[in-house]
Amino acid sequence: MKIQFRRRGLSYSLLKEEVTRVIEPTETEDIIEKPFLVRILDGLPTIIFEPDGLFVDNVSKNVGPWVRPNFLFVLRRDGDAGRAVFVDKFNRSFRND
Amino acid sequence: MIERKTNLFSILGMVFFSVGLMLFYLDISNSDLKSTLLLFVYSTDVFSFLGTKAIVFFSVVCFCLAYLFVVTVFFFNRNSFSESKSEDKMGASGKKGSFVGEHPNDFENKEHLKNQIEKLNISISKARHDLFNLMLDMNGIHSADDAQRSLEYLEESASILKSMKNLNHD
Repeated sequence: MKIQFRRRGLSYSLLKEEVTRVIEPTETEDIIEKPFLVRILDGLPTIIFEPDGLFVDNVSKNVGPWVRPNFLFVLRRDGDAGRAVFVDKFNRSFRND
Repeated sequence: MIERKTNLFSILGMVFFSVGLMLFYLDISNSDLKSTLLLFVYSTDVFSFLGTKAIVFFSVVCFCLAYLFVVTVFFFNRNSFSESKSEDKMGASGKKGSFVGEHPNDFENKEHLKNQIEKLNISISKARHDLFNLMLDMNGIHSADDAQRSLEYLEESASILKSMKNLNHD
């Protein structure tokens, strides 16, 4: 099952198993426009980046202007640092493949 | 007052209808009473011009009066019904708080209801958020907290709904 979400005018989908948690940026420290941010989330150093970094095909595509994200998808750990992506809005009903 | 008038007019209508019916029956029957009445009519100068049709004439007059009284009673009833209907409407709307200017308490109730709806919206959103996190990772380190928080928000939503229900009953 996949979660569909949107960020800066583009829609993405991630496997449900990839996402471990959805948090609101108010819970974290300041979110600013940078290629990536390193913040401590749940006691873990976490790299936060735009979701187009996950998909090689989308890197060259034009995305909309930077906006403060409404949510952060904390992804499953892959190494020592955690990963999270910015999300504007997402569909809470999962989509089957 | 209207009720008394209505009763009076309905009684008068019934009386005139009965008299008209009786006179009509007298006219078509050949009883002694009819001849007595005709003699009385002939003896008076006022009704002498009516001749033998006098009884029918009075019968028609009585029927007309009875009809007029019935129509009057009908209009009185209609007015009183519309008045009571408008009073009921005012009462019902006052309860819901539509006429804000006329009922200050209803304005407060409306504001209170609005606040309760906002609180309900917030707590349901939080409960949904925590439940979604729980669905994402059932065995995570935050799962127990998410489940607990979601349940608490749902309890809070239920209590808000109960208070809203009580507010509507007041």
